[in-house]
Amino acid sequence: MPEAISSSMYCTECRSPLSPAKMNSGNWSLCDRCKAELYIVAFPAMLRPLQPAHTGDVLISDSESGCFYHPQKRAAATCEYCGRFLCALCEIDWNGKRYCAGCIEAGKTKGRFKNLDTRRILYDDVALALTILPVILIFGIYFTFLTAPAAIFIALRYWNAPSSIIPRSKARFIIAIILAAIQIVAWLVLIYFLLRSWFN
Amino acid sequence: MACADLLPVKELVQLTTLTETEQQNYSKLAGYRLRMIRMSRNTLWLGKDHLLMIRNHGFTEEYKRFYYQDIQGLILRKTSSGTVWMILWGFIALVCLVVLISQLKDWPRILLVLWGILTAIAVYAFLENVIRGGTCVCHLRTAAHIQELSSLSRIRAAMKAVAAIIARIEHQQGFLSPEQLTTVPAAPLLSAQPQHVGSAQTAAEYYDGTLHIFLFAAFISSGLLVSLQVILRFSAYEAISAILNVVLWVFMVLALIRQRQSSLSNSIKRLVWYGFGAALFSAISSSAYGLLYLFSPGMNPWRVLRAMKGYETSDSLPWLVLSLVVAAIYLLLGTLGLLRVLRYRAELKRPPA
Repeated sequence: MPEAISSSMYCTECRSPLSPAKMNSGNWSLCDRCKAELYIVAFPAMLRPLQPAHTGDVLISDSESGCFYHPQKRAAATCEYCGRFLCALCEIDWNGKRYCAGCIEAGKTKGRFKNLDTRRILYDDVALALTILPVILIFGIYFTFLTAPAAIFIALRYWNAPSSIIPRSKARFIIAIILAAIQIVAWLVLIYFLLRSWFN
Repeated sequence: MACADLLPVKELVQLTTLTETEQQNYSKLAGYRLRMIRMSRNTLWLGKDHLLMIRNHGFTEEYKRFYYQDIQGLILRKTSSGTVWMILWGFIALVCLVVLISQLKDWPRILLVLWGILTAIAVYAFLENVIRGGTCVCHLRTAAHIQELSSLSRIRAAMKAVAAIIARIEHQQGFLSPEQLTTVPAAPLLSAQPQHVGSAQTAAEYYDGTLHIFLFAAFISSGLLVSLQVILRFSAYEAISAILNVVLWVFMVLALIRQRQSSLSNSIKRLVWYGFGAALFSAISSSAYGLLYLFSPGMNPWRVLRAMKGYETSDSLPWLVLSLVVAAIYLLLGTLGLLRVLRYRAELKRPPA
């Protein structure tokens, strides 16, 4: 049976197939159908045949090891995290290593596998916004008695929490704490003078 | 016996964890794109073994990773949006400059300063467009899906970034020679119906674009109405304009809802968003001008009534200029949109080759 080619290139405007002659030419070429100007680069992965799906082989003798999840199937690999035996159906080849689905899921949830992170909350930006936005907004300044303590709480609570995947400093947290502290001091001074004038 | 076999399971687990969480060094690729409508900023980073796309929504970041080993191809397509924006900003900048120069002696200082800031923004946007050069759309292809790399939207920056990506991919995969390329079998034809490229998870819904035809027709009608008012000055203008505005906004909201995950081409979807921006600009600028006018010295109830009927405001130069700018944008967007939707509908009806 001939091996299937994984895919071919299509024009991103009209979805018509593109001739291989237009690929890797180093020049812009026109789509035959919609005449869009295209620059196409193809890589050897395009010619890589699609891997057939494995369902796992059935155990033939008692001397063979069975899969942890499917005991009737022959073990083909061990999970590199938990060491469980896995059949061809259960093994997940990821980043050149083999894992079981349970470990991948647990690693993603607990943040063990950095490369599985798909979303992060930027607490330093949240803290900074809580100190700056109310000041910029005209009526927001009255809410700083709430937002400033909140900014300090977030900065301290999430000081060690993972921030952006791209390394960044703690500067935002520090600025947020300083600004929030100034706002709190300003409120305290205001309350002090109000109380003093009231009692006088 | 491998080294790993000698380690106890606990240590092996720790070793694996350490390898997975070790700090990746990323270098930023040229170019970023602000998506004002979605309030997000996209950036592209080169990692050791993968390309990282970050979509920053302000307080959260979303990551997409494309391993060099899996990338099958990159496709850049030139677009005309840069030219359209250049013409638009150039026109607005020119009009703003002409008004500013002509009103230097007549306008109060505060109005001159505000108008000067507006002019400076328009001139900056025009120059930035000219300097950054032509626009393009870049798509990355893997065996599983096609992803638009929206941060690569300018040809010059995109070509630099693509060269860096190619170097990394070829380091991992090798080079595809012209001889190997000839062995690529002819690709099967897809349906003539254009499909949304960008996300593999969401299947594009069939949609024939009827709502969009009404929307772009409303844009053209509104543009024509404003132009007619400038030339003819008829009394029913305000009433017709108000009705048309309501119709325009209703169709706008409906079209924006309907086009999500529909089979419409990205260029039509973008035109609707541009139209949304233009309508918003029109509403805000006319309200701001109206307020300035109402609070100007010498106003009385009779003049306010006349102004509301559209007689008096039509006489002032800034109002005329604003009307003409809005009319030009509406006509341009409406005509472009209508042509594209009609072409899209013709594509739908065309049988697959």
